[in-house]
Amino acid sequence: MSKSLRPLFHPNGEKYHLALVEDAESILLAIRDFLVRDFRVSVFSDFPSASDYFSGENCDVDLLISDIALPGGSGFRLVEQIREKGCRTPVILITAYDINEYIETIKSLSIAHILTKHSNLSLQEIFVTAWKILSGDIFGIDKYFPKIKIYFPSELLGKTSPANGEVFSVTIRNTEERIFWTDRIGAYFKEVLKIPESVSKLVLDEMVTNGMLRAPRHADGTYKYQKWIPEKDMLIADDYIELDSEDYILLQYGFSGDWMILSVTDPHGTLEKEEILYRLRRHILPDKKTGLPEGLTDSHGRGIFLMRDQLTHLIYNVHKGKKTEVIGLFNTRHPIPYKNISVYEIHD
Amino acid sequence: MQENQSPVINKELYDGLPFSVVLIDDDYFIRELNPSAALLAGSNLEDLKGKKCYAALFQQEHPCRFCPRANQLFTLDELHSSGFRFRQEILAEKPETPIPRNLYYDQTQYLVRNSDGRAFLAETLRDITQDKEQEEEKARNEKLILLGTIVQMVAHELNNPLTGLSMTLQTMEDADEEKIIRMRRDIELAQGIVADIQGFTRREGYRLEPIPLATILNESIDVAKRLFSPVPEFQITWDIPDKHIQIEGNEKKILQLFGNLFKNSVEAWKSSRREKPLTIWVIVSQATRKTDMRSTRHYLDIQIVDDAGGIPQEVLHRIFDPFFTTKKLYNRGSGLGLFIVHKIMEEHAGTVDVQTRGEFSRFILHFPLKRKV
Repeated sequence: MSKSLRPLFHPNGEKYHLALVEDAESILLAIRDFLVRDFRVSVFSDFPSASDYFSGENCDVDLLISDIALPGGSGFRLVEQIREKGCRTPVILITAYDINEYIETIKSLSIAHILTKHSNLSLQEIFVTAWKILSGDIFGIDKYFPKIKIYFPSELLGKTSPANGEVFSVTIRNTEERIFWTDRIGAYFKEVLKIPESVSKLVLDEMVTNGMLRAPRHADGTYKYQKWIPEKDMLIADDYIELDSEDYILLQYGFSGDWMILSVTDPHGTLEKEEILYRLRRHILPDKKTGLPEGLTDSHGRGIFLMRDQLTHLIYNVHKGKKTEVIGLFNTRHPIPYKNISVYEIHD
Repeated sequence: MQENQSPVINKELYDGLPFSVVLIDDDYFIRELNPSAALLAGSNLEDLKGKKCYAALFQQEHPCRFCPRANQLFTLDELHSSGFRFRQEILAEKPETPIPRNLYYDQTQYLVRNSDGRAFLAETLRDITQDKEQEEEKARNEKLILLGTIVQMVAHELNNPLTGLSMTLQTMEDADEEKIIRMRRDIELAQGIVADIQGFTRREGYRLEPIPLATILNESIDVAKRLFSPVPEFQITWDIPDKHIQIEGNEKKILQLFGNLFKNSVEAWKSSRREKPLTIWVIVSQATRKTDMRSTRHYLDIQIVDDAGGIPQEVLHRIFDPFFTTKKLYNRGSGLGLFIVHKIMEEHAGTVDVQTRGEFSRFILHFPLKRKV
């Protein structure tokens, strides 16, 4: 497998140091073997040995990749332990269980990368996740699909149906273009990948709405293209929106083999990891009084929950104050919503 | 003898009975019947008198094969003396296109004499189709819940070794070698089974919303036409006035439900190696069922009927079991298609029945409705 991402080194000139904790030996060794060419990898097969390693004073690990269910303890306990020491080491959790059960802990420990351990999980996906966290070079769908050819708006010459391995980029400037492209792309994915329009359009609508309505704000923080109705706690979008040129969004779509690829980039970078996890949590965790998720009574953040619910992997790349890229990947060969979610943040 | 000569034909008594009572003479002519029997025959009470019982009640040209009286060589008078009395469950048919529908009755036959001393065959018929279906459904549910739990546990346990195997293969340098490709293909097959199981055991985020039935049916048929070759011929019949009817469902699951049923028909047709092209009938109708002694509930029944070769009676009770398949080993899918159909119906508070007759199979999906159409 080609990794196609440039070699990465710690500012001290050495390879980055990864700690990998997983009790299934074959999985542990396969991930180690795949990553060891690019990183220094320490492996642990249970909680006590990993916990011992982290019990010292230093935080000399650049990235922790851990299973949740471990012999002798849990991956969460391990993360708590290193957080208690004040280490801000980024964490990737890999779990065979549904993360909805752990959403509260995930939020409180600020874990932004959760991969579902399923037999289609690719080592490339783990590698890219680690590489992006460590390099801070987070944007672009080509990181996941190194061989893909991306066409920009000026190169399309009226074509709207990318072939296998191609991704087309279009600019959305107003409501009319939004409607045209979401309809067109929904029909395109239905045609080439047999994905129900209910899935592709839901994801697309949510991504585009986020880029067009939620991201653009005035200097005082109020929305540019929607109004808040305080008595109903609702945001109402303008009927027809003509974006200012500094608010144009870029929509990318195409497929590679069994994968549907969708991405929307806005030039604002307003989303935050904490907020994404907070919004997700309110749609998953039942309220103590009502027994229903808090998010049912309003629509704040429902989009994130619904998108993740449809996709194999939902990825947020945020350059604070500059740019947000939301990527949605869906595998049609195993159309199970694995609900992997990754949130990458960089700051100037 | 004293008892036999008393008037036995008490009209008030049998007119009020909620099941059919028919008095038949030696030549199978109906002499008396109650309103329930007229309702069963779907005809006017007076018009039915003097008709042959097998024609009026069961649309047959000859005495019914299950009729106890028809298998006797004696006259009714002689049978009366012998104390003839019979009770059984019978399977009858209601004419429907393209195949008749199975109906179950609790049937009793015994002899009575009228005041003139003439012997008549008294037959009672109680429609127990719903009871039978509910009984079968309950037994099937219990079995499938248990099997589903086991399957889910097995899938979870298989997940780790399969992930390890798949990841180890990903690290191998000579990944293009034919033997490795073959191994990968087998792993993918196993992955598909595990993924299918995980797909129906993960239920969170599963919302039921009103879906226009016609739209989703058409979409399912479009997908089937694109995916399956040769393409089956579809015939759709709406036996309800409102074609805009909506069902409470999850769109993705309903697409999967119809997709699995259509796929099942196509694969059955292929493995029966029939030369005649495959036809799939989709029939939408409405039914009312008892939910308990006092209440009834309205259902939308969607029948998927095919002429793909039928299902052998002896395997009919296993048709929804996980991994049960009649297909050849090396051509089979995951063996979970109909199990998932059953599971999806359960998740939609509905049920599914299966019937087979000759070359035809019929799956009936019962979707609960909020109110009558």
